[in-house]
Amino acid sequence: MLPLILRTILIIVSIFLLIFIVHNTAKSKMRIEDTIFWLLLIILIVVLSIFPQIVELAANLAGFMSPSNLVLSFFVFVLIVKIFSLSKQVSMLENKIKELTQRVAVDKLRHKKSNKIN
Amino acid sequence: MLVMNKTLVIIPAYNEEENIQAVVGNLVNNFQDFDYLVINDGSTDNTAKILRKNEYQFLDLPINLGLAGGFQAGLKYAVDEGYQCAIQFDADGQHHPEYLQTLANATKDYDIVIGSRFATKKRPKSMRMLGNILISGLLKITCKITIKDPTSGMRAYNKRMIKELSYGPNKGPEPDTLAYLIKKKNASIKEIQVEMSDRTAGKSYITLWRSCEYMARIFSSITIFNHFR
Repeated sequence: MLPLILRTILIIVSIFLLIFIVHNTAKSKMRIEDTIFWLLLIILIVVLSIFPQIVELAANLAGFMSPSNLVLSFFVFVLIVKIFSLSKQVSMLENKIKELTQRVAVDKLRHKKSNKIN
Repeated sequence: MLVMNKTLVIIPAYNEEENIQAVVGNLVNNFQDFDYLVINDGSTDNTAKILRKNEYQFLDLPINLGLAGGFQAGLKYAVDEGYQCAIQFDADGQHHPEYLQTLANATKDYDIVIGSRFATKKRPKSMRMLGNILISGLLKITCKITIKDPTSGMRAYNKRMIKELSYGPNKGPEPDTLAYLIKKKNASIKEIQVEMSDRTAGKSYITLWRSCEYMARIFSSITIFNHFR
């Protein structure tokens, strides 16, 4: 049985997370594509909180001792996946910065040389 | 030296080696009234080579930014050079330059002029048009405006819109940005009937996954984010 208090807390946290996301995007601090994951997660949390039967059924099938354990495990799994995705994004950013730095430096020198020739 | 009363045709290009020479050559030979700027968006094929060989004017982006980032780079150039109007133009030959003058003229009266396939012609009710139909409906509900071809890439912007769009995230040339500009920046929009061809050569950027990502972003942007920007 998924406790009512836990469900309420999840919904409240989701609302705050949603406000936080919208505020950051409105202030041009985030790109919309980077918020889609969090929007989907919020929707999932709200749905599971309103229909705890889904979690209870899944917990029984998977052999968890209580639905709360499943909720916790699920969040940990989601976080691991998200963090891996972020690691990949950071790697790609590092590579892009490297390319830009090299391009700027090479262009600077070639520009200087071509100015000297002129 | 600033260019007065001139229009910049911005041509984002990613791996368009098969089309770029024909498209830009046509502009250079037959449409000299217009300045143009190709955006080489980190192409991995011979696009840059072809641009250099023909001495076409282009921005050589060192990394791939995508359509939004590439077009925005062109807008930064337009701001710096003082252009009155900027028009987005496809590098794959789908857009017809015969309509450029009409679009540019209309920006004297409207902030954004869309080259629309369905301004006067009827839009077919097919699967291919599903995205277009959905987005039109969404725009009608949220902004009370009728746009028959909201995904058209052939759009002209006046100086005020160029300045708005040239900086910051979430400013891509997509329907949700249109909705934002209408609601928050009082943008006036006009649709003008144009003809477009189908792509003849090269690979399209559109895949099923990208279409889903696109619709998710447009939907959440228009329904949630635009109210707070």
